[in-house]
Amino acid sequence: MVPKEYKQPTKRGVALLEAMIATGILSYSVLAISSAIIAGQKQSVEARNTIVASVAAESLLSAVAQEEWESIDSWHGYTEDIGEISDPGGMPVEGDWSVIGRTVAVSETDLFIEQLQIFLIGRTVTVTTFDNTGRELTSVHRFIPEPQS
Amino acid sequence: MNRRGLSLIEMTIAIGITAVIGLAIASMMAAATNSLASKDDGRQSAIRLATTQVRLGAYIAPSNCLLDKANEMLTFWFNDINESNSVNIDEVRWIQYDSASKTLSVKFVNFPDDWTPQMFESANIECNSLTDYSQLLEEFELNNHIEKITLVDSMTNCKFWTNNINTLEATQVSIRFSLESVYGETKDAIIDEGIRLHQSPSD
Repeated sequence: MVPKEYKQPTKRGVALLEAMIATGILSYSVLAISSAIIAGQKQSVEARNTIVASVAAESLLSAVAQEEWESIDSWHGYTEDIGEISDPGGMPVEGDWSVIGRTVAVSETDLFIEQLQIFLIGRTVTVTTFDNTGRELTSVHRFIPEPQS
Repeated sequence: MNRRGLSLIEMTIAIGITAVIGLAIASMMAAATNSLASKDDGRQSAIRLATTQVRLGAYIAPSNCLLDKANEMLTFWFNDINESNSVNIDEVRWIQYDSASKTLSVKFVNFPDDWTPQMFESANIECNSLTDYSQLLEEFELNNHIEKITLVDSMTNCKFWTNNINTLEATQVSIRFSLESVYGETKDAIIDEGIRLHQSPSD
């Protein structure tokens, strides 16, 4: 009987380079997933702020539009800074509203409606909302015709 | 090549490191998911806020005027379909907050379809400045002549203001409210809505 030849194991361990490549791939994957999650969250917060800002802008526009024609101009430049939005009772509105500011601009506008062939004189009220960095979130406009126009 | 494979201790260390990394990733994912769900909940609340504004606006903006304001109810003269320049009960809309069911709803008179014009005429009473609209609503509710449409649900509180003490002259309504969500109650929001073409009844 021929004795079996002892065979030295040929499989080697993990080399430093391989370990580094594996760690790199893992880190890259984790970073990619994390950044995707963070970007999604940022987008979600952005969408939420935009919705709330739109409602806030529409609300103020609605209030300005109720003003008498003669005094609408007095709203030009009106600003509610961050955290200054309050209810008619003077109580500040907290939460999402406390990170939004609003400003009003009133400009003289002449409007020609081609289909009806009429010319209207009026004012355009623009309400702009902004965040704590001063970045514009939303802007809404409404044309208010002069009563006798 | 005569290099050996992994020894037991090396394997144990490798498994340990993998387990730590795995746990870290799992907890990070769980935190991210939880945070996403919370933010999604916040976004849903914001969407509900916008929906509330649109739904309230659909009743307030085209109304002729505000007839009455109570703590949890606004009464509007919605239109003048009878062209009488006076308020008939079928032209009235009640916007009511019910703290028990946490809902904001609109109510209006809806007479049975099988009624004759005479029955309709006699039931469609004309209101005046002395009319108690809350009492009127109760009476019509008792007779099952009130239709109710829920505008917003899961509303935890609601408060109304007008821009004029004399409700008939008010042209703007402010509503402060908060909404209930999966992650708790949202902070208050406020909606201002104006009556676009204000018109008071002749009496």
